[in-house]
Amino acid sequence: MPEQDVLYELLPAEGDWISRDAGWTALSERLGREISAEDFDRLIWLLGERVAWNPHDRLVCRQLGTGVPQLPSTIETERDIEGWFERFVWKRAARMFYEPPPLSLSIVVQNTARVGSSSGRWTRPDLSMACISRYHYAPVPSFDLFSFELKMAAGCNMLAVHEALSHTAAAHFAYLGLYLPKGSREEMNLPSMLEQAQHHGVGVIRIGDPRDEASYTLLLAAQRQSPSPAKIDGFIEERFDEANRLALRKWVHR
Amino acid sequence: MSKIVAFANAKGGVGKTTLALSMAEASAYLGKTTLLIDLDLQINASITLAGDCIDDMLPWRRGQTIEDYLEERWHGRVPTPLNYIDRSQRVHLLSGSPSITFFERRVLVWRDTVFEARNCVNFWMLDVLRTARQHYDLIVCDTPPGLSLLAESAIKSADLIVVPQIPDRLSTQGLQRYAKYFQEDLELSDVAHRTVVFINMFDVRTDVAETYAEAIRRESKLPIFPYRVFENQYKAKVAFKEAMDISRTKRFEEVWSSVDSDVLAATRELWKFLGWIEGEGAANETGTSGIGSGAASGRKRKVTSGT
Repeated sequence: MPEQDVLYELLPAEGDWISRDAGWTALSERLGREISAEDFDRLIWLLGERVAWNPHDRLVCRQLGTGVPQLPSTIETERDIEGWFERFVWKRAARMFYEPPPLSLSIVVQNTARVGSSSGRWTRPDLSMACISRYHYAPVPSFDLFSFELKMAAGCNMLAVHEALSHTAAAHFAYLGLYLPKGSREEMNLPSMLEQAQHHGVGVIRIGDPRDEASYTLLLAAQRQSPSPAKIDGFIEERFDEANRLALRKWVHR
Repeated sequence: MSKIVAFANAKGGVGKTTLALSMAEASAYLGKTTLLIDLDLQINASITLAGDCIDDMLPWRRGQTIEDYLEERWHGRVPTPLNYIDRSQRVHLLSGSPSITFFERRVLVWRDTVFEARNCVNFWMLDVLRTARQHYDLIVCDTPPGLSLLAESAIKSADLIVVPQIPDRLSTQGLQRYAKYFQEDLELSDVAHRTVVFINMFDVRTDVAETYAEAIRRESKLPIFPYRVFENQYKAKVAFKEAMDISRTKRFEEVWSSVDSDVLAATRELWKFLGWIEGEGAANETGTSGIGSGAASGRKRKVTSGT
Protein backbone atom coordinates (compact mmCIF):
# COMPACT_ATOMS: atom_id res chain seq x y z
CA MET A 1 0.00 0.00 0.00
CA PRO A 2 1.41 3.48 -0.86
CA GLU A 3 2.63 5.38 2.19
CA GLN A 4 0.08 8.16 1.75
CA ASP A 5 -2.70 5.58 1.97
CA VAL A 6 -1.16 4.19 5.15
CA LEU A 7 -1.24 7.70 6.60
CA TYR A 8 -4.85 8.16 5.48
CA GLU A 9 -5.80 4.91 7.24
CA LEU A 10 -4.20 6.20 10.43
CA LEU A 11 -6.29 9.37 10.52
CA PRO A 12 -9.44 9.15 12.67
CA ALA A 13 -12.36 7.99 10.57
CA GLU A 14 -14.76 10.56 12.00
CA GLY A 15 -12.81 13.44 10.54
CA ASP A 16 -11.49 14.58 13.93
CA TRP A 17 -8.39 16.71 13.78
CA ILE A 18 -5.13 15.30 15.03
CA SER A 19 -1.84 17.14 15.38
CA ARG A 20 0.86 16.86 12.76
CA ASP A 21 3.26 15.52 15.42
CA ALA A 22 0.83 12.79 16.47
CA GLY A 23 0.27 11.76 12.86
CA TRP A 24 3.98 11.81 12.20
CA THR A 25 4.76 9.61 15.23
CA ALA A 26 1.96 7.16 14.47
CA LEU A 27 3.08 6.83 10.86
CA SER A 28 6.70 6.22 11.89
CA GLU A 29 5.55 3.45 14.22
CA ARG A 30 3.30 1.89 11.61
CA LEU A 31 6.03 1.90 8.95
CA GLY A 32 8.70 0.79 11.41
CA ARG A 33 11.10 3.55 10.46
CA GLU A 34 11.70 7.18 11.25
CA ILE A 35 9.76 9.56 8.99
CA SER A 36 11.20 13.03 8.44
CA ALA A 37 9.06 16.17 8.64
CA GLU A 38 9.53 16.67 4.93
CA ASP A 39 8.40 13.13 4.15
CA PHE A 40 5.31 13.57 6.30
CA ASP A 41 4.41 16.89 4.65
CA ARG A 42 4.99 15.32 1.24
CA LEU A 43 2.49 12.58 2.02
CA ILE A 44 -0.07 15.21 3.05
CA TRP A 45 0.58 16.93 -0.30
CA LEU A 46 0.01 13.64 -2.13
CA LEU A 47 -3.27 13.08 -0.29
CA GLY A 48 -4.46 16.42 -1.67
CA GLU A 49 -8.21 16.83 -1.38
CA ARG A 50 -8.60 13.69 0.73
CA VAL A 51 -7.39 15.56 3.81
CA ALA A 52 -7.85 18.99 5.33
CA TRP A 53 -4.98 20.90 6.84
CA ASN A 54 -5.03 23.63 9.47
CA PRO A 55 -1.73 25.46 9.06
CA HIS A 56 -2.05 27.62 12.17
CA ASP A 57 -2.41 24.74 14.64
CA ARG A 58 -0.70 22.20 12.41
CA LEU A 59 -3.65 19.87 12.53
CA VAL A 60 -4.73 17.36 9.93
CA CYS A 61 -7.97 15.45 9.38
CA ARG A 62 -9.74 13.41 6.75
CA GLN A 63 -11.75 15.51 4.38
CA LEU A 64 -15.29 14.24 4.50
CA GLY A 65 -17.03 14.38 1.14
CA THR A 66 -16.07 17.25 -1.09
CA GLY A 67 -16.10 19.81 1.71
CA VAL A 68 -18.86 21.64 -0.16
CA PRO A 69 -22.44 21.58 1.11
CA GLN A 70 -24.71 19.84 -1.37
CA LEU A 71 -27.86 21.60 -2.49
CA PRO A 72 -31.15 19.76 -2.02
CA SER A 73 -32.18 17.67 -5.00
CA THR A 74 -35.88 17.77 -4.15
CA ILE A 75 -37.79 21.02 -3.72
CA GLU A 76 -40.44 20.84 -1.06
CA THR A 77 -40.09 23.99 1.00
CA GLU A 78 -38.92 27.57 0.52
CA ARG A 79 -35.73 26.61 2.28
CA ASP A 80 -34.91 24.13 -0.49
CA ILE A 81 -34.97 26.97 -3.01
CA GLU A 82 -32.65 29.29 -1.08
CA GLY A 83 -29.36 27.58 -1.94
CA TRP A 84 -30.24 27.26 -5.62
CA PHE A 85 -31.45 30.83 -5.85
CA GLU A 86 -28.32 32.05 -4.07
CA ARG A 87 -26.19 30.25 -6.62
CA PHE A 88 -28.22 31.79 -9.44
CA VAL A 89 -27.71 35.26 -7.95
CA TRP A 90 -23.94 34.74 -7.66
CA LYS A 91 -23.68 33.53 -11.22
CA ARG A 92 -26.18 35.58 -13.16
CA ALA A 93 -27.25 38.63 -11.20
CA ALA A 94 -24.48 40.86 -12.50
CA ARG A 95 -25.62 40.38 -16.08
CA MET A 96 -29.27 40.50 -15.16
CA PHE A 97 -29.20 43.73 -13.18
CA TYR A 98 -26.27 45.65 -14.63
CA GLU A 99 -26.51 46.26 -18.34
CA PRO A 100 -24.40 47.81 -19.76
CA PRO A 101 -21.81 46.55 -17.29
CA PRO A 102 -20.01 48.97 -14.97
CA LEU A 103 -16.22 49.28 -14.90
CA SER A 104 -16.06 47.03 -11.90
CA LEU A 105 -18.66 45.18 -9.93
CA SER A 106 -18.15 43.54 -6.56
CA ILE A 107 -20.98 41.79 -4.80
CA VAL A 108 -21.72 40.02 -1.55
CA VAL A 109 -24.70 37.74 -1.21
CA GLN A 110 -26.16 37.02 2.20
CA ASN A 111 -28.81 34.53 3.18
CA THR A 112 -30.88 36.77 5.45
CA ALA A 113 -33.68 34.29 6.03
CA ARG A 114 -32.24 33.11 9.30
CA VAL A 115 -29.78 35.78 10.39
CA GLY A 116 -30.58 38.38 13.05
CA SER A 117 -33.81 38.99 14.94
CA SER A 118 -36.73 36.78 13.94
CA SER A 119 -39.42 39.03 15.38
CA GLY A 120 -41.86 40.63 12.97
CA ARG A 121 -43.46 38.91 10.02
CA TRP A 122 -42.02 40.90 7.14
CA THR A 123 -38.78 42.11 8.64
CA ARG A 124 -36.32 40.21 6.52
CA PRO A 125 -35.98 39.04 2.95
CA ASP A 126 -34.82 35.50 2.25
CA LEU A 127 -31.74 36.68 0.41
CA SER A 128 -29.95 40.01 0.07
CA MET A 129 -27.26 41.16 -2.31
CA ALA A 130 -25.09 44.25 -1.83
CA CYS A 131 -23.27 45.54 -4.90
CA ILE A 132 -20.50 48.09 -5.25
CA SER A 133 -20.09 49.27 -8.82
CA ARG A 134 -17.74 51.81 -10.31
CA TYR A 135 -18.13 53.96 -13.39
CA HIS A 136 -15.93 56.25 -15.44
CA TYR A 137 -17.65 59.49 -14.57
CA ALA A 138 -19.06 58.79 -11.13
CA PRO A 139 -16.77 60.30 -8.49
CA VAL A 140 -17.68 57.69 -5.87
CA PRO A 141 -18.61 54.01 -6.03
CA SER A 142 -22.28 53.25 -6.42
CA PHE A 143 -23.94 51.12 -3.74
CA ASP A 144 -27.06 49.03 -4.37
CA LEU A 145 -28.82 46.74 -1.95
CA PHE A 146 -31.13 44.10 -3.46
CA SER A 147 -33.66 42.06 -1.49
CA PHE A 148 -35.17 38.79 -2.67
CA GLU A 149 -38.33 37.26 -1.24
CA LEU A 150 -38.81 33.66 -2.30
CA LYS A 151 -42.20 32.02 -2.54
CA MET A 152 -43.38 28.52 -3.32
CA ALA A 153 -46.31 28.18 -5.72
CA ALA A 154 -48.76 28.06 -2.82
CA GLY A 155 -47.54 31.49 -1.70
CA CYS A 156 -48.03 33.18 -5.07
CA ASN A 157 -50.59 35.79 -4.18
CA MET A 158 -50.92 39.52 -3.61
CA LEU A 159 -49.58 39.21 -0.08
CA ALA A 160 -46.22 38.10 -1.50
CA VAL A 161 -45.96 41.32 -3.53
CA HIS A 162 -46.60 43.41 -0.45
CA GLU A 163 -44.12 41.41 1.57
CA ALA A 164 -41.45 42.10 -1.06
CA LEU A 165 -42.51 45.75 -1.12
CA SER A 166 -41.98 46.02 2.63
CA HIS A 167 -38.29 45.29 2.10
CA THR A 168 -37.84 48.54 0.18
CA ALA A 169 -37.65 50.19 3.59
CA ALA A 170 -34.01 49.11 3.56
CA ALA A 171 -33.30 47.90 0.00
CA HIS A 172 -32.88 49.86 -3.20
CA PHE A 173 -34.32 47.05 -5.30
CA ALA A 174 -36.90 44.56 -4.05
CA TYR A 175 -37.48 41.33 -5.94
CA LEU A 176 -39.96 38.55 -5.59
CA GLY A 177 -38.75 35.09 -6.64
CA LEU A 178 -41.70 32.87 -7.52
CA TYR A 179 -41.27 29.13 -7.80
CA LEU A 180 -44.07 28.65 -10.24
CA PRO A 181 -43.72 25.54 -12.44
CA LYS A 182 -45.56 25.62 -15.73
CA GLY A 183 -49.15 24.54 -15.35
CA SER A 184 -49.38 25.46 -11.64
CA ARG A 185 -52.85 26.30 -10.41
CA GLU A 186 -51.49 29.58 -9.02
CA GLU A 187 -50.51 30.79 -12.50
CA MET A 188 -53.93 32.44 -12.64
CA ASN A 189 -52.78 34.85 -9.87
CA LEU A 190 -49.81 36.01 -11.91
CA PRO A 191 -51.36 38.79 -14.04
CA SER A 192 -52.81 40.63 -11.04
CA MET A 193 -49.59 40.12 -9.06
CA LEU A 194 -47.54 41.58 -11.90
CA GLU A 195 -49.87 44.54 -12.12
CA GLN A 196 -49.46 45.25 -8.40
CA ALA A 197 -45.71 44.65 -8.55
CA GLN A 198 -45.35 47.09 -11.43
CA HIS A 199 -47.41 49.67 -9.58
CA HIS A 200 -45.08 49.44 -6.56
CA GLY A 201 -41.82 48.99 -8.44
CA VAL A 202 -41.25 45.46 -7.16
CA GLY A 203 -39.32 43.16 -9.50
CA VAL A 204 -40.47 39.63 -10.26
CA ILE A 205 -38.37 36.61 -11.20
CA ARG A 206 -40.18 33.42 -12.12
CA ILE A 207 -38.47 30.13 -11.35
CA GLY A 208 -39.63 27.13 -13.36
CA ASP A 209 -37.23 24.74 -11.65
CA PRO A 210 -34.80 26.08 -9.03
CA ARG A 211 -32.16 23.56 -10.13
CA ASP A 212 -32.24 24.73 -13.76
CA GLU A 213 -30.80 28.20 -14.34
CA ALA A 214 -32.39 28.40 -17.76
CA SER A 215 -35.81 28.33 -16.11
CA TYR A 216 -35.24 31.61 -14.22
CA THR A 217 -37.07 34.40 -16.05
CA LEU A 218 -37.03 38.07 -15.21
CA LEU A 219 -40.69 39.03 -15.64
CA LEU A 220 -40.41 42.53 -14.24
CA ALA A 221 -37.39 44.68 -13.37
CA ALA A 222 -37.55 46.44 -9.99
CA GLN A 223 -37.60 50.23 -9.79
CA ARG A 224 -34.87 51.83 -7.71
CA GLN A 225 -36.12 53.06 -4.33
CA SER A 226 -34.48 55.53 -1.95
CA PRO A 227 -34.29 53.99 1.50
CA SER A 228 -32.58 56.06 4.18
CA PRO A 229 -28.83 55.31 4.55
CA ALA A 230 -29.43 54.77 8.27
CA LYS A 231 -31.95 52.02 7.49
CA ILE A 232 -29.51 50.39 5.11
CA ASP A 233 -26.73 50.52 7.70
CA GLY A 234 -29.01 49.04 10.33
CA PHE A 235 -30.12 46.27 8.00
CA ILE A 236 -26.59 45.29 7.02
CA GLU A 237 -25.32 45.45 10.59
CA GLU A 238 -28.09 43.18 11.76
CA ARG A 239 -28.47 40.78 8.88
CA PHE A 240 -25.05 40.37 7.25
CA ASP A 241 -22.33 38.25 8.77
CA GLU A 242 -19.01 39.74 9.79
CA ALA A 243 -16.98 38.65 6.76
CA ASN A 244 -19.50 40.21 4.39
CA ARG A 245 -19.69 43.43 6.41
CA LEU A 246 -15.91 43.72 6.43
CA ALA A 247 -15.72 43.17 2.67
CA LEU A 248 -18.30 45.88 2.05
CA ARG A 249 -16.58 48.35 4.34
CA LYS A 250 -13.27 47.71 2.66
CA TRP A 251 -14.68 48.33 -0.81
CA VAL A 252 -16.58 51.45 0.19
CA HIS A 253 -13.99 53.12 2.40
CA ARG A 254 -10.69 52.11 0.88
CA MET B 1 -19.76 19.63 -14.73
CA SER B 2 -17.35 22.32 -13.59
CA LYS B 3 -13.78 22.11 -14.89
CA ILE B 4 -10.50 23.71 -13.90
CA VAL B 5 -7.96 24.45 -16.62
CA ALA B 6 -4.47 25.68 -15.73
CA PHE B 7 -2.41 27.42 -18.41
CA ALA B 8 1.18 26.77 -17.45
CA ASN B 9 4.70 26.72 -18.77
CA ALA B 10 7.96 27.38 -16.97
CA LYS B 11 9.03 29.43 -19.98
CA GLY B 12 7.88 33.03 -20.18
CA GLY B 13 6.53 34.74 -23.29
CA VAL B 14 4.91 31.67 -24.80
CA GLY B 15 1.41 33.20 -24.73
CA LYS B 16 -0.08 31.71 -21.57
CA THR B 17 -2.12 34.79 -20.77
CA THR B 18 -3.29 35.39 -24.33
CA LEU B 19 -4.34 31.77 -24.68
CA ALA B 20 -6.01 31.64 -21.25
CA LEU B 21 -7.90 34.85 -21.87
CA SER B 22 -8.94 33.96 -25.41
CA MET B 23 -10.30 30.57 -24.38
CA ALA B 24 -11.96 31.98 -21.27
CA GLU B 25 -13.69 34.70 -23.28
CA ALA B 26 -14.70 32.31 -26.03
CA SER B 27 -16.14 29.89 -23.46
CA ALA B 28 -18.13 32.71 -21.86
CA TYR B 29 -19.27 33.81 -25.32
CA LEU B 30 -20.40 30.25 -26.04
CA GLY B 31 -22.48 30.21 -22.87
CA LYS B 32 -20.30 28.87 -20.07
CA THR B 33 -20.08 30.82 -16.82
CA THR B 34 -16.37 31.44 -16.61
CA LEU B 35 -13.98 32.62 -13.92
CA LEU B 36 -10.38 33.60 -14.59
CA ILE B 37 -8.01 33.35 -11.64
CA ASP B 38 -4.87 35.34 -12.26
CA LEU B 39 -1.94 33.86 -10.35
CA ASP B 40 0.74 35.76 -12.23
CA LEU B 41 2.43 38.67 -10.46
CA GLN B 42 2.54 40.48 -13.81
CA ILE B 43 -1.29 40.58 -13.59
CA ASN B 44 -1.57 40.96 -17.36
CA ALA B 45 -4.85 39.06 -17.52
CA SER B 46 -6.28 41.22 -14.72
CA ILE B 47 -5.18 44.41 -16.43
CA THR B 48 -6.71 43.27 -19.71
CA LEU B 49 -10.04 42.37 -18.11
CA ALA B 50 -10.19 45.31 -15.69
CA GLY B 51 -9.67 47.66 -18.62
CA ASP B 52 -8.56 51.26 -18.69
CA CYS B 53 -10.31 52.25 -15.50
CA ILE B 54 -8.80 54.88 -13.26
CA ASP B 55 -6.44 53.63 -10.60
CA ASP B 56 -8.80 53.53 -7.64
CA MET B 57 -11.10 51.13 -9.42
CA LEU B 58 -8.52 48.47 -10.09
CA PRO B 59 -9.07 45.32 -8.02
CA TRP B 60 -5.49 45.29 -6.73
CA ARG B 61 -5.96 48.81 -5.37
CA ARG B 62 -9.20 48.09 -3.58
CA GLY B 63 -8.08 44.93 -1.81
CA GLN B 64 -9.90 42.44 -3.98
CA THR B 65 -7.26 40.04 -5.22
CA ILE B 66 -6.22 36.46 -4.64
CA GLU B 67 -3.52 37.80 -2.33
CA ASP B 68 -6.09 39.68 -0.23
CA TYR B 69 -8.06 36.46 0.15
CA LEU B 70 -4.95 34.50 1.10
CA GLU B 71 -3.91 37.23 3.51
CA GLU B 72 -7.22 36.71 5.37
CA ARG B 73 -6.53 32.97 5.51
CA TRP B 74 -3.03 33.70 6.78
CA HIS B 75 -4.62 35.56 9.69
CA GLY B 76 -6.90 32.61 10.40
CA ARG B 77 -10.09 34.12 8.99
CA VAL B 78 -12.23 32.26 6.45
CA PRO B 79 -14.06 34.68 4.14
CA THR B 80 -15.91 33.40 1.10
CA PRO B 81 -13.68 33.61 -1.99
CA LEU B 82 -16.75 34.79 -3.92
CA ASN B 83 -16.42 38.20 -2.29
CA TYR B 84 -13.10 38.71 -4.06
CA ILE B 85 -14.45 38.23 -7.57
CA ASP B 86 -15.12 41.10 -9.95
CA ARG B 87 -18.20 40.39 -12.05
CA SER B 88 -18.35 43.33 -14.40
CA GLN B 89 -17.08 41.50 -17.48
CA ARG B 90 -18.29 38.46 -19.39
CA VAL B 91 -15.42 36.57 -17.79
CA HIS B 92 -15.46 37.05 -14.04
CA LEU B 93 -12.09 37.85 -12.52
CA LEU B 94 -10.30 36.85 -9.35
CA SER B 95 -7.54 39.34 -9.81
CA GLY B 96 -3.86 38.71 -9.39
CA SER B 97 -1.62 40.85 -7.25
CA PRO B 98 1.77 42.33 -8.13
CA SER B 99 3.01 41.45 -4.63
CA ILE B 100 1.87 37.83 -4.56
CA THR B 101 5.48 36.61 -4.61
CA PHE B 102 6.16 38.34 -1.30
CA PHE B 103 3.18 36.54 0.21
CA GLU B 104 4.47 33.19 -1.02
CA ARG B 105 7.89 34.00 0.38
CA ARG B 106 6.32 34.71 3.78
CA VAL B 107 4.56 31.34 3.77
CA LEU B 108 7.81 29.58 2.89
CA VAL B 109 9.63 31.25 5.77
CA TRP B 110 6.73 30.62 8.15
CA ARG B 111 6.72 26.84 7.67
CA ASP B 112 9.30 24.13 8.45
CA THR B 113 9.46 22.49 5.06
CA VAL B 114 8.72 23.41 1.48
CA PHE B 115 6.03 20.72 1.43
CA GLU B 116 4.37 22.21 4.49
CA ALA B 117 4.31 25.62 2.79
CA ARG B 118 2.92 23.94 -0.33
CA ASN B 119 0.22 22.30 1.79
CA CYS B 120 -0.80 25.63 3.35
CA VAL B 121 -1.20 27.37 0.04
CA ASN B 122 -2.76 24.29 -1.54
CA PHE B 123 -5.51 23.97 1.07
CA TRP B 124 -6.36 27.65 0.87
CA MET B 125 -6.45 27.41 -2.90
CA LEU B 126 -8.57 24.26 -2.69
CA ASP B 127 -11.20 26.28 -0.83
CA VAL B 128 -11.14 28.87 -3.60
CA LEU B 129 -11.43 26.23 -6.30
CA ARG B 130 -14.12 24.19 -4.53
CA THR B 131 -16.27 27.29 -4.11
CA ALA B 132 -15.60 28.33 -7.68
CA ARG B 133 -16.58 24.87 -8.93
CA GLN B 134 -19.99 25.41 -7.36
CA HIS B 135 -20.59 28.63 -9.24
CA TYR B 136 -18.74 28.38 -12.53
CA ASP B 137 -18.70 25.98 -15.44
CA LEU B 138 -15.11 26.80 -16.29
CA ILE B 139 -12.32 28.04 -14.03
CA VAL B 140 -9.26 29.22 -15.91
CA CYS B 141 -6.03 29.68 -13.97
CA ASP B 142 -3.37 31.83 -15.59
CA THR B 143 -0.09 30.90 -13.93
CA PRO B 144 3.22 32.76 -13.88
CA PRO B 145 6.30 31.54 -15.73
CA GLY B 146 8.69 29.59 -13.56
CA LEU B 147 7.47 27.86 -10.46
CA SER B 148 5.34 29.26 -7.67
CA LEU B 149 3.38 27.73 -4.81
CA LEU B 150 0.10 29.04 -6.20
CA ALA B 151 0.84 27.79 -9.70
CA GLU B 152 1.68 24.36 -8.33
CA SER B 153 -1.57 24.27 -6.43
CA ALA B 154 -3.59 25.25 -9.49
CA ILE B 155 -1.77 22.68 -11.60
CA LYS B 156 -2.38 19.99 -8.99
CA SER B 157 -6.12 20.67 -8.91
CA ALA B 158 -6.58 21.20 -12.64
CA ASP B 159 -8.62 18.79 -14.71
CA LEU B 160 -6.53 19.88 -17.67
CA ILE B 161 -3.11 21.54 -17.86
CA VAL B 162 -2.69 23.45 -21.10
CA VAL B 163 0.96 24.09 -21.94
CA PRO B 164 1.35 26.79 -24.60
CA GLN B 165 4.43 26.11 -26.61
CA ILE B 166 6.30 28.07 -29.27
CA PRO B 167 7.62 25.68 -31.91
CA ASP B 168 11.32 26.47 -31.66
CA ARG B 169 14.41 24.70 -30.42
CA LEU B 170 14.63 26.02 -26.86
CA SER B 171 10.93 25.67 -26.10
CA THR B 172 10.85 22.11 -27.38
CA GLN B 173 13.73 21.12 -25.12
CA GLY B 174 12.06 22.75 -22.12
CA LEU B 175 8.85 20.84 -22.66
CA GLN B 176 10.23 17.46 -21.67
CA ARG B 177 11.74 18.98 -18.54
CA TYR B 178 8.39 20.52 -17.66
CA ALA B 179 6.58 17.22 -18.09
CA LYS B 180 9.20 15.63 -15.89
CA TYR B 181 8.57 18.29 -13.23
CA PHE B 182 4.84 17.51 -13.28
CA GLN B 183 5.49 13.85 -12.83
CA GLU B 184 8.46 13.75 -10.49
CA ASP B 185 8.34 16.91 -8.40
CA LEU B 186 4.62 17.62 -8.21
CA GLU B 187 3.96 13.85 -8.31
CA LEU B 188 0.83 14.44 -10.39
CA SER B 189 -1.16 11.41 -11.31
CA ASP B 190 -2.36 10.83 -14.85
CA VAL B 191 0.01 13.43 -16.33
CA ALA B 192 -0.33 12.05 -19.85
CA HIS B 193 -4.07 12.51 -19.85
CA ARG B 194 -4.15 15.87 -18.08
CA THR B 195 -1.39 17.62 -20.01
CA VAL B 196 -2.21 19.11 -23.40
CA VAL B 197 0.26 21.14 -25.41
CA PHE B 198 -0.98 24.04 -27.50
CA ILE B 199 1.32 25.15 -30.31
CA ASN B 200 1.31 28.93 -30.19
CA MET B 201 2.84 31.78 -32.20
CA PHE B 202 3.37 29.52 -35.20
CA ASP B 203 5.61 31.48 -37.56
CA VAL B 204 4.92 30.56 -41.19
CA ARG B 205 7.81 32.59 -42.54
CA THR B 206 10.35 29.85 -41.84
CA ASP B 207 10.41 26.06 -41.85
CA VAL B 208 11.53 26.08 -38.23
CA ALA B 209 8.01 26.31 -36.85
CA GLU B 210 6.74 23.34 -38.88
CA THR B 211 9.82 21.29 -38.01
CA TYR B 212 9.50 21.85 -34.29
CA ALA B 213 5.70 21.60 -34.28
CA GLU B 214 6.12 18.13 -35.71
CA ALA B 215 8.81 17.41 -33.13
CA ILE B 216 6.41 18.39 -30.37
CA ARG B 217 3.78 16.07 -31.79
CA ARG B 218 6.31 13.28 -32.20
CA GLU B 219 7.60 13.61 -28.64
CA SER B 220 4.06 13.50 -27.31
CA LYS B 221 4.19 9.79 -28.08
CA LEU B 222 7.33 9.13 -26.06
CA PRO B 223 6.48 6.70 -23.29
CA ILE B 224 8.43 8.47 -20.50
CA PHE B 225 6.60 11.78 -20.42
CA PRO B 226 3.66 11.55 -22.80
CA TYR B 227 1.19 14.38 -23.34
CA ARG B 228 -1.54 15.30 -25.79
CA VAL B 229 -1.45 18.04 -28.41
CA PHE B 230 -4.14 20.41 -29.71
CA GLU B 231 -4.93 20.07 -33.37
CA ASN B 232 -5.59 23.80 -33.54
CA GLN B 233 -2.72 26.28 -33.42
CA TYR B 234 -2.45 30.04 -33.12
CA LYS B 235 -0.24 31.71 -35.66
CA ALA B 236 2.00 34.64 -34.71
CA LYS B 237 -0.39 37.42 -35.59
CA VAL B 238 -0.88 41.07 -34.68
CA ALA B 239 -4.58 40.55 -33.93
CA PHE B 240 -3.69 38.54 -30.83
CA LYS B 241 -1.62 41.39 -29.45
CA GLU B 242 -4.32 43.90 -30.32
CA ALA B 243 -6.93 41.85 -28.50
CA MET B 244 -5.02 42.34 -25.27
CA ASP B 245 -5.42 46.09 -25.67
CA ILE B 246 -9.15 46.34 -26.37
CA SER B 247 -11.87 47.26 -23.88
CA ARG B 248 -13.87 44.26 -22.73
CA THR B 249 -17.09 46.20 -23.02
CA LYS B 250 -16.84 45.46 -26.75
CA ARG B 251 -18.32 42.35 -28.26
CA PHE B 252 -16.29 39.13 -28.45
CA GLU B 253 -15.94 39.38 -32.25
CA GLU B 254 -14.66 42.94 -31.99
CA VAL B 255 -12.10 42.10 -29.32
CA TRP B 256 -10.68 39.12 -31.19
CA SER B 257 -11.38 40.63 -34.65
CA SER B 258 -9.79 38.64 -37.47
CA VAL B 259 -8.83 35.70 -35.24
CA ASP B 260 -12.20 35.15 -33.56
CA SER B 261 -12.95 32.02 -35.57
CA ASP B 262 -9.54 30.58 -34.67
CA VAL B 263 -10.17 31.30 -31.00
CA LEU B 264 -13.58 29.65 -31.16
CA ALA B 265 -12.19 26.60 -32.97
CA ALA B 266 -9.41 26.18 -30.41
CA THR B 267 -11.91 26.63 -27.59
CA ARG B 268 -14.20 23.98 -29.01
CA GLU B 269 -11.22 21.66 -29.06
CA LEU B 270 -10.56 22.56 -25.42
CA TRP B 271 -14.16 21.58 -24.70
CA LYS B 272 -13.53 18.23 -26.36
CA PHE B 273 -10.59 17.63 -24.07
CA LEU B 274 -12.82 18.57 -21.14
CA GLY B 275 -15.44 16.09 -22.30
CA TRP B 276 -18.09 18.77 -22.83
CA ILE B 277 -18.59 17.92 -26.46
CA GLU B 278 -18.16 14.64 -28.21
CA GLY B 279 -14.79 13.31 -29.28
CA GLU B 280 -11.39 13.95 -27.88
CA GLY B 281 -8.80 16.40 -29.14
CA ALA B 282 -8.23 15.33 -32.73
CA ALA B 283 -4.47 15.24 -32.23
CA ASN B 284 -4.87 12.17 -30.05
CA GLU B 285 -6.04 10.15 -32.96
CA THR B 286 -2.95 10.87 -35.03
CA GLY B 287 0.06 8.67 -35.10
CA THR B 288 2.75 11.07 -36.20
CA SER B 289 6.04 9.27 -36.32
CA GLY B 290 8.53 11.74 -37.64
CA ILE B 291 9.11 15.28 -38.82
CA GLY B 292 6.77 16.09 -41.65
CA SER B 293 4.69 12.98 -41.23
CA GLY B 294 1.55 15.06 -40.60
CA ALA B 295 1.85 16.60 -44.04
CA ALA B 296 2.78 13.25 -45.52
CA SER B 297 -0.44 11.74 -44.23
CA GLY B 298 -2.36 14.46 -46.04
CA ARG B 299 -3.75 15.88 -42.80
CA LYS B 300 -3.77 19.66 -42.74
CA ARG B 301 -3.12 21.41 -39.45
CA LYS B 302 -5.54 24.13 -38.48
CA VAL B 303 -3.31 27.17 -38.59
CA THR B 304 -4.65 30.71 -38.83
CA SER B 305 -3.98 32.28 -42.18
CA GLY B 306 -2.67 35.68 -43.22
CA THR B 307 -1.30 38.48 -41.04
